[in-house]
Amino acid sequence: MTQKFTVLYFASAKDAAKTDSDTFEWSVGITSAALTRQLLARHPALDHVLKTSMFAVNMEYMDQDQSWTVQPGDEIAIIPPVSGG
Amino acid sequence: MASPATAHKDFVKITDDVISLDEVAKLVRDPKAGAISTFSGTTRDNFEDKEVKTLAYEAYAPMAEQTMKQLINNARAKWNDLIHVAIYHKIGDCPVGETSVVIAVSSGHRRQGLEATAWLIDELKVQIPIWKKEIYTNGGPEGTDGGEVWKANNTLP
Repeated sequence: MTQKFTVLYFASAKDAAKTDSDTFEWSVGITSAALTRQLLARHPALDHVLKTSMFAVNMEYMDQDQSWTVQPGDEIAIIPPVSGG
Repeated sequence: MASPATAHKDFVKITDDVISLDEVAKLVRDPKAGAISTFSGTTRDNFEDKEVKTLAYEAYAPMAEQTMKQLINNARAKWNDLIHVAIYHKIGDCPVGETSVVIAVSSGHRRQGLEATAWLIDELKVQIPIWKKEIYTNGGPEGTDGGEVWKANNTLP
Protein backbone atom coordinates (compact mmCIF):
# COMPACT_ATOMS: atom_id res chain seq x y z
CA MET A 1 0.00 0.00 0.00
CA THR A 2 1.42 3.35 -0.95
CA GLN A 3 1.43 6.35 1.32
CA LYS A 4 1.41 9.96 0.30
CA PHE A 5 3.80 12.41 1.83
CA THR A 6 4.42 16.08 1.30
CA VAL A 7 7.77 17.62 0.41
CA LEU A 8 8.37 21.30 1.21
CA TYR A 9 11.01 23.40 -0.55
CA PHE A 10 12.56 26.51 0.93
CA ALA A 11 14.93 29.26 -0.23
CA SER A 12 17.32 28.00 -2.94
CA ALA A 13 15.47 24.66 -3.10
CA LYS A 14 12.23 26.49 -3.83
CA ASP A 15 13.92 28.52 -6.57
CA ALA A 16 15.38 25.37 -8.16
CA ALA A 17 12.18 23.31 -7.96
CA LYS A 18 10.07 26.32 -8.99
CA THR A 19 7.47 25.28 -6.43
CA ASP A 20 7.16 25.33 -2.66
CA SER A 21 5.64 21.87 -2.24
CA ASP A 22 5.01 18.52 -3.91
CA THR A 23 3.29 15.26 -3.09
CA PHE A 24 5.11 11.95 -3.46
CA GLU A 25 4.04 8.35 -2.98
CA TRP A 26 6.14 5.61 -1.45
CA SER A 27 5.29 2.14 -0.30
CA VAL A 28 7.87 1.17 2.30
CA GLY A 29 10.49 2.75 4.50
CA ILE A 30 12.44 5.36 2.60
CA THR A 31 16.06 6.39 3.00
CA SER A 32 17.44 9.83 2.37
CA ALA A 33 19.33 8.40 -0.65
CA ALA A 34 16.10 7.02 -2.14
CA LEU A 35 14.31 10.28 -1.48
CA THR A 36 17.12 12.17 -3.19
CA ARG A 37 16.68 9.98 -6.29
CA GLN A 38 12.93 10.65 -6.35
CA LEU A 39 13.46 14.37 -5.96
CA LEU A 40 16.04 14.51 -8.75
CA ALA A 41 13.82 12.50 -11.08
CA ARG A 42 11.14 15.15 -10.72
CA HIS A 43 13.39 18.23 -10.39
CA PRO A 44 16.84 17.74 -11.99
CA ALA A 45 17.63 21.37 -11.11
CA LEU A 46 17.76 20.40 -7.43
CA ASP A 47 21.03 18.54 -7.96
CA HIS A 48 23.28 21.35 -6.75
CA VAL A 49 21.03 22.34 -3.83
CA LEU A 50 20.60 18.81 -2.47
CA LYS A 51 24.37 18.37 -2.11
CA THR A 52 24.37 20.90 0.73
CA SER A 53 20.85 20.46 2.12
CA MET A 54 19.47 18.54 5.06
CA PHE A 55 16.11 16.80 5.31
CA ALA A 56 13.64 17.36 8.11
CA VAL A 57 10.88 14.84 8.74
CA ASN A 58 7.88 16.21 10.58
CA MET A 59 10.00 19.18 11.68
CA GLU A 60 12.94 17.15 13.04
CA TYR A 61 16.32 17.09 11.30
CA MET A 62 17.10 13.65 9.93
CA ASP A 63 20.55 12.11 10.17
CA GLN A 64 22.33 11.22 6.96
CA ASP A 65 21.37 7.73 5.78
CA GLN A 66 18.54 7.52 8.29
CA SER A 67 15.46 5.70 7.01
CA TRP A 68 11.90 6.04 8.17
CA THR A 69 8.55 4.45 7.48
CA VAL A 70 6.30 6.86 5.69
CA GLN A 71 3.11 7.66 7.57
CA PRO A 72 0.13 9.22 5.82
CA GLY A 73 0.56 12.95 5.75
CA ASP A 74 4.24 12.94 6.67
CA GLU A 75 5.90 16.27 5.94
CA ILE A 76 9.43 16.26 4.63
CA ALA A 77 11.31 19.52 4.17
CA ILE A 78 14.40 20.30 2.13
CA ILE A 79 16.54 22.53 4.34
CA PRO A 80 19.33 24.34 2.44
CA PRO A 81 22.12 25.89 4.54
CA VAL A 82 20.38 28.23 6.97
CA SER A 83 21.09 31.94 7.32
CA GLY A 84 18.91 33.32 10.08
CA GLY A 85 20.03 35.92 12.56
CA MET B 1 7.59 40.34 51.53
CA ALA B 2 8.98 38.94 48.29
CA SER B 3 6.57 37.83 45.60
CA PRO B 4 6.12 34.08 45.06
CA ALA B 5 8.26 32.42 42.41
CA THR B 6 6.83 32.74 38.93
CA ALA B 7 6.60 29.94 36.37
CA HIS B 8 9.26 30.15 33.69
CA LYS B 9 7.85 31.36 30.40
CA ASP B 10 9.13 30.97 26.85
CA PHE B 11 8.12 33.25 23.98
CA VAL B 12 9.04 32.33 20.41
CA LYS B 13 7.72 34.00 17.30
CA ILE B 14 8.33 34.17 13.58
CA THR B 15 6.64 37.37 12.45
CA ASP B 16 6.08 39.61 9.44
CA ASP B 17 5.81 42.60 11.76
CA VAL B 18 8.57 45.02 12.70
CA ILE B 19 10.26 43.76 15.87
CA SER B 20 10.67 46.09 18.83
CA LEU B 21 13.58 45.38 21.17
CA ASP B 22 11.68 47.13 24.00
CA GLU B 23 8.55 45.07 23.53
CA VAL B 24 10.41 41.75 23.47
CA ALA B 25 12.43 42.77 26.53
CA LYS B 26 9.20 43.65 28.36
CA LEU B 27 7.94 40.09 27.83
CA VAL B 28 10.66 38.68 30.08
CA ARG B 29 10.34 41.16 32.94
CA ASP B 30 9.95 39.52 36.33
CA PRO B 31 10.15 40.66 39.95
CA LYS B 32 12.75 37.92 40.59
CA ALA B 33 15.00 39.12 37.76
CA GLY B 34 18.14 41.05 38.52
CA ALA B 35 19.02 41.29 34.85
CA ILE B 36 17.47 41.31 31.41
CA SER B 37 20.07 40.45 28.76
CA THR B 38 19.23 41.16 25.13
CA PHE B 39 20.65 40.65 21.68
CA SER B 40 19.35 42.57 18.69
CA GLY B 41 20.46 41.63 15.18
CA THR B 42 20.20 44.21 12.41
CA THR B 43 20.66 43.91 8.68
CA ARG B 44 23.94 45.13 7.18
CA ASP B 45 24.21 47.18 3.98
CA ASN B 46 27.18 45.41 2.43
CA PHE B 47 28.67 42.07 1.55
CA GLU B 48 32.27 42.16 0.36
CA ASP B 49 32.23 45.00 -2.21
CA LYS B 50 28.54 44.73 -2.96
CA GLU B 51 25.96 47.19 -1.77
CA VAL B 52 22.86 45.51 -0.38
CA LYS B 53 19.67 47.22 -1.52
CA THR B 54 17.32 45.19 0.62
CA LEU B 55 17.02 41.83 2.36
CA ALA B 56 14.29 39.29 2.75
CA TYR B 57 13.93 36.41 5.19
CA GLU B 58 12.00 33.21 4.71
CA ALA B 59 11.29 30.57 7.37
CA TYR B 60 9.87 27.13 7.80
CA ALA B 61 7.87 28.81 10.52
CA PRO B 62 6.39 25.88 12.49
CA MET B 63 9.75 24.09 12.60
CA ALA B 64 11.60 27.33 13.36
CA GLU B 65 9.38 28.02 16.37
CA GLN B 66 9.59 24.41 17.56
CA THR B 67 13.39 24.41 17.22
CA MET B 68 13.59 27.74 19.08
CA LYS B 69 11.67 26.14 21.98
CA GLN B 70 14.09 23.20 21.96
CA LEU B 71 17.03 25.64 22.07
CA ILE B 72 15.48 27.39 25.06
CA ASN B 73 15.01 24.04 26.83
CA ASN B 74 18.68 23.25 26.18
CA ALA B 75 19.69 26.67 27.50
CA ARG B 76 17.66 26.09 30.68
CA ALA B 77 19.50 22.78 31.16
CA LYS B 78 22.85 24.59 30.89
CA TRP B 79 21.99 27.68 32.97
CA ASN B 80 19.67 27.23 35.95
CA ASP B 81 19.31 30.93 36.75
CA LEU B 82 17.20 31.79 33.67
CA ILE B 83 13.66 33.03 34.32
CA HIS B 84 11.90 33.95 31.07
CA VAL B 85 13.28 33.70 27.54
CA ALA B 86 12.01 35.31 24.33
CA ILE B 87 13.21 34.80 20.74
CA TYR B 88 11.59 36.79 17.92
CA HIS B 89 12.69 36.63 14.28
CA LYS B 90 11.36 38.70 11.42
CA ILE B 91 10.52 37.25 8.01
CA GLY B 92 9.63 38.96 4.75
CA ASP B 93 11.26 42.19 3.64
CA CYS B 94 13.75 43.60 6.10
CA PRO B 95 15.27 46.89 4.87
CA VAL B 96 18.90 47.64 5.71
CA GLY B 97 19.30 48.70 9.34
CA GLU B 98 16.11 47.10 10.55
CA THR B 99 15.97 44.58 13.37
CA SER B 100 15.84 41.00 12.11
CA VAL B 101 16.10 39.11 15.40
CA VAL B 102 15.76 39.84 19.11
CA ILE B 103 16.63 37.57 22.02
CA ALA B 104 15.77 38.58 25.60
CA VAL B 105 16.61 36.58 28.71
CA SER B 106 15.73 37.46 32.29
CA SER B 107 17.78 35.90 35.04
CA GLY B 108 18.32 36.23 38.76
CA HIS B 109 21.84 37.53 38.18
CA ARG B 110 23.51 38.89 35.05
CA ARG B 111 26.22 36.33 34.30
CA GLN B 112 24.07 33.37 33.25
CA GLY B 113 21.70 35.59 31.28
CA LEU B 114 24.56 37.11 29.28
CA GLU B 115 26.09 33.71 28.57
CA ALA B 116 22.76 32.18 27.58
CA THR B 117 21.96 35.09 25.25
CA ALA B 118 25.26 34.69 23.41
CA TRP B 119 24.78 30.92 23.19
CA LEU B 120 21.21 31.26 21.91
CA ILE B 121 22.10 33.56 19.00
CA ASP B 122 25.04 31.32 18.04
CA GLU B 123 22.82 28.22 18.03
CA LEU B 124 19.97 30.03 16.27
CA LYS B 125 22.26 30.88 13.36
CA VAL B 126 23.21 27.22 12.93
CA GLN B 127 20.00 25.33 13.68
CA ILE B 128 16.90 27.37 12.96
CA PRO B 129 15.37 26.92 9.48
CA ILE B 130 15.42 30.55 8.41
CA TRP B 131 17.00 31.88 5.22
CA LYS B 132 18.23 35.34 4.26
CA LYS B 133 18.26 36.64 0.72
CA GLU B 134 20.40 39.67 -0.11
CA ILE B 135 19.36 41.79 -3.08
CA TYR B 136 22.24 43.91 -4.42
CA THR B 137 22.26 47.28 -6.12
CA ASN B 138 25.58 46.70 -7.88
CA GLY B 139 28.17 44.07 -8.63
CA GLY B 140 26.24 42.39 -11.42
CA PRO B 141 27.11 42.46 -15.12
CA GLU B 142 27.74 45.91 -16.64
CA GLY B 143 24.70 48.13 -16.49
CA THR B 144 22.60 45.71 -14.46
CA ASP B 145 21.56 45.26 -10.88
CA GLY B 146 23.64 42.94 -8.79
CA GLY B 147 21.07 40.18 -8.56
CA GLU B 148 20.23 38.32 -5.39
CA VAL B 149 21.79 35.56 -3.32
CA TRP B 150 20.56 33.19 -0.63
CA LYS B 151 23.11 33.45 2.15
CA ALA B 152 24.53 30.64 4.28
CA ASN B 153 25.78 31.01 7.84
CA ASN B 154 28.95 29.24 8.90
CA THR B 155 28.05 25.82 10.18
CA LEU B 156 30.02 26.31 13.39
CA PRO B 157 29.04 29.13 15.70
